[in-house]
Amino acid sequence: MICNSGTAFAARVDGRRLSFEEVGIHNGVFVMRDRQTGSLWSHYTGEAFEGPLKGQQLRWIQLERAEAKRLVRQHPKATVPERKSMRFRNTPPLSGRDKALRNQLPPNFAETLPAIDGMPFHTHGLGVAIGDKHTFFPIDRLYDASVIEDRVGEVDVVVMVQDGTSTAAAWSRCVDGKTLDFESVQHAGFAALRDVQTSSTWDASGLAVKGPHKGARLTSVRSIITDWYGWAAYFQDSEVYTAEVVTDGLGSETNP
Amino acid sequence: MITLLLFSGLSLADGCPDVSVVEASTPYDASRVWKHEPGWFKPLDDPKGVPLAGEGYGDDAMIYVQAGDAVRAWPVAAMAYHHVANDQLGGEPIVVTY
Repeated sequence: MICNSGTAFAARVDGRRLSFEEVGIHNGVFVMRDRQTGSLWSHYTGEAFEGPLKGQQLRWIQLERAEAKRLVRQHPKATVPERKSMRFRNTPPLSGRDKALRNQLPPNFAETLPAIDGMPFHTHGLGVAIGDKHTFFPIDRLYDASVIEDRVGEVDVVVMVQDGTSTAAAWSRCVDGKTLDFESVQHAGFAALRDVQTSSTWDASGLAVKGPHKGARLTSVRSIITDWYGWAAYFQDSEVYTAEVVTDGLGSETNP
Repeated sequence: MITLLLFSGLSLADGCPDVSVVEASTPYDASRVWKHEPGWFKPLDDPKGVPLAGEGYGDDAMIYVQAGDAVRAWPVAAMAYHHVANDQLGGEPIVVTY
């Protein structure tokens, strides 16, 4: 919706398939209703907060973001809905919006928000949630660093942005019980990670594509690419990443 | 605090911390819900899938999910219109939102 936040969930509760439609706004982001029971659900958390299924929780599926050409290269068998089944609406990049508009929302959105401070509403970034700890990484900070290592609660995480886009993802740095340190590299023409300990290269989907860990996959942590206001509304105690750059581009790898 | 159990199992066998449980910090407040009548937006309902390769999306932004070898993607520009996709991944029903 207006905060550009995407999520995905398993659509089955107690063995029954549910299907959904958008019906309103809460915390500045949209509310959906399942057609089977009429319960209202948060598209941000997957929790039912009104209706017969109140208290139920849809199982989270990590939603990733990528340019189509990179997705095709990494997943040649990926499928997409056929074009004739979809309509399209292009919206300007949030980073390009006039700064004067960065704290504005339509009244029907704004009236659903709790008090929010800290940053302009439309500050774009990656929200990361682990346990009861929540951290928001402004996309501008990610542009500065390419790769950020941080700690969310008790978990060491690595966050990467894809080549100056608003495509970012976060993973636990723990692999086989060991915490890895990561650097930014280019792999096959795209931003990637390389761990210092084994020099394995990990692509933007978290898959090790080269080195001793080849074939392993980093563990995704729950993250949402979103604007600040939606994140802050749902996670009012969220921290905001402000530290200095940890690592920067170290080189280029040309072998796919 | 509202506990959101996102996955059913703990995965500590590999010696790494469990990252599957998330707690939202803002209690639900029914007075801050704005509703409209259904039908303002048309969800994508079980759209037929075709290979992404060859569809010519180029640099277009996509959102996607994967389970094993199954990868399903949706153009961001399409989701900005539909907002909800009732779809499937690896034969299991999913809902994707934007």
